[in-house]
Amino acid sequence: MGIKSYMEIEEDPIEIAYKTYEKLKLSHERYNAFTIFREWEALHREIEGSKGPLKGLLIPVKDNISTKSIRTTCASRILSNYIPPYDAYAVEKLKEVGAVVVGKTNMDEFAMGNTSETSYFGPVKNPWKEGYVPGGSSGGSAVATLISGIPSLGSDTGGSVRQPASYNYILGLKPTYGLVSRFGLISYADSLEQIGIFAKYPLDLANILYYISEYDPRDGTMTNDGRRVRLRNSLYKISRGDGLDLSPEKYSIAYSSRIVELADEKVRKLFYRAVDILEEMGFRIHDVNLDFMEVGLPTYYIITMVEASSNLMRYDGIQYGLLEEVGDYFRSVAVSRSRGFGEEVKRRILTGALLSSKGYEGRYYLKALKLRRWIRDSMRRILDVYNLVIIPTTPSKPPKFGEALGPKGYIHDLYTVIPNLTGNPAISIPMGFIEGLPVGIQFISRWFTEDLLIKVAYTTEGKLYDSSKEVG
Amino acid sequence: MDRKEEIKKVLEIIGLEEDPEKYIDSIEYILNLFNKIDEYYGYAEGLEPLFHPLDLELEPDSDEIGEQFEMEHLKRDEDGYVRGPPLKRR
Repeated sequence: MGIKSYMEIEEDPIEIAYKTYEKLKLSHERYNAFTIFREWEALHREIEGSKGPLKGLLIPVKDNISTKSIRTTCASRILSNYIPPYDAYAVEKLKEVGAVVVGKTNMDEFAMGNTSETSYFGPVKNPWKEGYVPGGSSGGSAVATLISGIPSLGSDTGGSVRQPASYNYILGLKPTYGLVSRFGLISYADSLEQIGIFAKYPLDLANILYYISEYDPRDGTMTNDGRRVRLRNSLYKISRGDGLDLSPEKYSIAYSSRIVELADEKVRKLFYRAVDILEEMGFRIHDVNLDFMEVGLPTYYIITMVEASSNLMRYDGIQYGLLEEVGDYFRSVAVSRSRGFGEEVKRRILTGALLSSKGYEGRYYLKALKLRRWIRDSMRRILDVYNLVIIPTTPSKPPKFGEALGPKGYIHDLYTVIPNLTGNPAISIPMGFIEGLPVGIQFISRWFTEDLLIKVAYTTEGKLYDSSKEVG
Repeated sequence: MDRKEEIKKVLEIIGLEEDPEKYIDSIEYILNLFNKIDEYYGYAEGLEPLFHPLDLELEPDSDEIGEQFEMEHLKRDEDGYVRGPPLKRR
């Protein structure tokens, strides 16, 4: 099989960029994938002045990742006039090797959602079927990658890269906690979130991850030891097409039929078909007890809401963002926040503050933190024995617009929150279609083994999924 | 204190000017979802809380005394005043 990549055609970087620009423009105009889409003239000038192996790559960047001199709004009214004075580290690294930011991708406001409907700039649409959501919160990045074929950056707090990847028939990778610097990623729930990557081809995941995973001392949660060195050496090789193959018979995979039962019947059917394919390929697959996953969803939401209520207190309109001057200081702040935030954001800030208020903290938050350790340790024990864990990426096909808004939609994060709680890397790989809408399978591996996940995506290409499949 | 009063109090603290009534149903729904943790809490009761998934070790900077902030090092204008950052009016 030939190695596919967005850079596989050796053309003039300007020509490559222009071709992808036209496709990205389509994703913007038809599916509302961007909050800010830059003009070709400005991009052309930047590409001409850029140098490095990624020259010609127009990178779509999620609108909660800071970009110097380009508006970064988190798809919120409260930040609709905010222009960061610096680049996020991941953006800085990609620009250093020649990439140019093509625009900011649309998302759920402050990454709080799984449908990309709560954006101040209007919802993103699923290109596979009209009337359906593309997933979220990084829905704009996923659609941009699907339509253009080039990789993009998103952020993943509870599945915000893997879930839209699943709903768009592309690859979505959430790296290990502490692998990619969060410097410049606007915080929502910082003990869970990571910058992640969307791509159509596994090689592109390796390429982009290699550049953005350099150690950054400005992020105190980054791990800087031999595991990072080993992984980056491996990513470097993979991104050059070396050592991509793996021998499936050397790898054992765990799954839980009890946990899979929580998904819709059609998702289950596709999942077991994928299990059969993996078994035929030679992977050793075992049905094991993963009951700890059942409590992942409430544990995750308690922690994220408490962290969100703390992180979003900074938006008072005084230092930056929307300011409604309506009287004294306190009233101005309250009105600015009420008019600046959307409903879901306000609900999460309120719930998080309630959970951490006197009388509640021991009832929910402390218990959730202890359960998080239990879940983390349980996953660790499983991955001490098996190389990989597989679960569906989502319990159902993409919902229609409006169906998953508000707390009733939290259930769609059922399977994706686990790697965020445990810090493990995870990838969503397409596994098929339900009534014309795609769904994915999720592979979880040990900390700092993203290279294994990329190799799995490479090895299963053409068996589990077809990377050349296009909309329409 | 009933739920409406609780929500009203928290809304004031977090600086949101909203009708508490609007949130009662969704907060009840969410708390009900969160109560599921009690079914599993027995497994975690004796454990230490986990704040970050990877065990992080803090490496504080060394305690050596470096260059100190001294008023005489600050740049002054011709009248001898220290110039602060410019104020921007929105």
